Amino acid sequence: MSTAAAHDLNKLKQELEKRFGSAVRPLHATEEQRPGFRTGVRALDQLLPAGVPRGALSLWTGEETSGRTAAVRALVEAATKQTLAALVDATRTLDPAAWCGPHGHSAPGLWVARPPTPAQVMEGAWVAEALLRTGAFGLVVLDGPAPDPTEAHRLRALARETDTALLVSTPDASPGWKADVRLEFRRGGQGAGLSTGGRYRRGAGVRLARGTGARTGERMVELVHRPHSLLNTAPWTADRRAAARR
Amino acid sequence: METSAARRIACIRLPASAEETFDAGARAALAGALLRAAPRVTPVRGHPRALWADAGGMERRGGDAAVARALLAAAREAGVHARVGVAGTCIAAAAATREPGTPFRVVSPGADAAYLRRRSLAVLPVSPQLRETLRLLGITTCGALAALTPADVELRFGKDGVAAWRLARADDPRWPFRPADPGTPSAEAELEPPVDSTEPLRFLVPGLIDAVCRQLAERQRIPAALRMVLTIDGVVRGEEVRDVRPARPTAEPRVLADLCRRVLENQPPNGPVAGVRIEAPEDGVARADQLDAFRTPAPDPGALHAALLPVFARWGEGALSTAAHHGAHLPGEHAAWDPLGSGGIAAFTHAQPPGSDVPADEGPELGRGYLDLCLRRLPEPAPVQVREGEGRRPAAVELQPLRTASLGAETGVVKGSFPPGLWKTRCEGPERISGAWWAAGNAREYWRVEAPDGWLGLLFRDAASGRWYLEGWYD
Repeated sequence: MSTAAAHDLNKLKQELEKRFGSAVRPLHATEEQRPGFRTGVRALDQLLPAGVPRGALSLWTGEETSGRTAAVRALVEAATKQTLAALVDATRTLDPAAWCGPHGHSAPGLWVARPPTPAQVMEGAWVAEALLRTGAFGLVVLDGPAPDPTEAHRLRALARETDTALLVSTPDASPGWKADVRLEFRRGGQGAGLSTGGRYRRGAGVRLARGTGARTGERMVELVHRPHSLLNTAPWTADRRAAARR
Repeated sequence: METSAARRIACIRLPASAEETFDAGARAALAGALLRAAPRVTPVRGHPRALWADAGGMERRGGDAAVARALLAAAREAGVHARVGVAGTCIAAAAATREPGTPFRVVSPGADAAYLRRRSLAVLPVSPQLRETLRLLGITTCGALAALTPADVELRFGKDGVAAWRLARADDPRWPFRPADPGTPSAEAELEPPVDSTEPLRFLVPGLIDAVCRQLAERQRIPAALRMVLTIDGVVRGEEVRDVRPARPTAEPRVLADLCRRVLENQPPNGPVAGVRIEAPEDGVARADQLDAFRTPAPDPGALHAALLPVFARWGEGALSTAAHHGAHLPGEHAAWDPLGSGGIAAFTHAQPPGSDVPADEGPELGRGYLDLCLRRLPEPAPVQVREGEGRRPAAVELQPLRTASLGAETGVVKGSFPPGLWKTRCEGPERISGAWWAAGNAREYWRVEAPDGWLGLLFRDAASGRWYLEGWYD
């Protein structure tokens, strides 16, 4: 930038601050300049080349051990490098150890909301709505039961209004449940996945059931579980295993 | 309209040593600090070392004692070791600041008269002559004066005597704050003596803005415009108004204070300022996406707090949690979701990634071809039926009978496709964990089990009872 241009910009800044303080809102970037969030997982990024879209409601469904939660974690990990993200753990079943990074805690830009009791699981959609309304997050994930269609419609409208990527991750949702993008995870492969030492390796399928501008079809991804020698992986804790009596 | 029953007033008394060092600037700074603990603060007329603060309606913030502690902390922050008294009347609150041995004293609602009964007459603002006359008559406590009949008091001591008698009975109609318009959140502070410079206002105004924002936050609103009403103590006492309007509603005190400062610099007051009142005549929806054209976009913590107050009210501190390793033995304890509560909002908003809204990987990177499974743990381990094989290995597992009862499938806590029926399992283990010997103690054998269709779960056998439990599953 030339000296004159820098001078002009500085002058403009002073004028704006004089009139509006420092609460000046920049112009929204266009749709093309605000792409969705890629996961860093090949199968998912091939199905969603532009990433999990902003301003839209995405639905990920899948049975247990289909890799749906692992995919959500990959998405959140990638998204928190770019924006603030919120995760509503409505069922209170996410294991915190899986979300701790190398420094022993979750990403500082990740807001995790958990109900105080499992009985409040159905309030997850309401909390996701409150988080969306703030407009502070680039990505909001609701992990739990699928909201009813009326709530889903409201969430979708809010996501569009605030240009937030909204993801509902749920074990199951009816085929008529409206979402802009719908991914279905399923277990795949034959034979044993579990092997010596508790290691697990098995294929899984990810199918794009609905999505505008996304690629159709199914991609395969490998599900991996590599247990450490101890369930307790904190390096500073002494190994006090003892043979269980009886 | 405020009723006397709802009124709570705090008196803040500074030590005698503070009088010499306390100029107008320091007094304004103290008032600004106190405004963080109470919405209205005003000096006590004729007593340069004392201030009144409105302590009413603070039940949700912990009541009178919490307000008194907050006022003490605010005064300490301003460099003063003060004493605080909280009561329903000015006279009882002032008397409470003279109680030795404690930095603050709270007089319970409705107990002002009883509290004053045993206090010395020295707490009453009466002339030295009247006090001496009463002393000669053997009347040394407020209770003794209050016990006299009003006719006798008027006959012997005149109008001043009746005023003192009323105060001794905690019959004190004084209320140093003007009644607030319930529709317009406001905060005010008086300056005594009036200040010629706007410099002291720089310390005072942020506290007032903070108080206004807090009032609005209770309605989940944030200021869209502020009105600064300056009381001018010039040749003619009057009020001057300065309007401030940020580019869009914001609860960012830095921005609002900055705008107020600029307005005062551009349009200085036409005389000494004896008081400032900040009102929010217009407010807006608490949206946190306050962006700054010249800095990295970051949410407005005040607006985020206001917008999410109902979530914190319903979900408690867990509404904002973070995962952290704790290093305990059991899988359910070696990491935890630590609830940060609304106190963690400011730190969270500062965690905005530097490359905000810029995609991290724009290139055609293929990414990895695998997904690392995550453990999902049940809120409480659920007992399951297991047929044991050789060496107590789990040979067959049945989750089905427990699905609706223990796994909460009906409420939606866990809903999905657990393997049906009794299935033969592939298993790997055990991992033996024992610990908590200082408490109940536990010894468990953990097994990873795989159903024929690939479902992978984590079971454990409690060594003491021999029963099997489902800890969770991998997904």
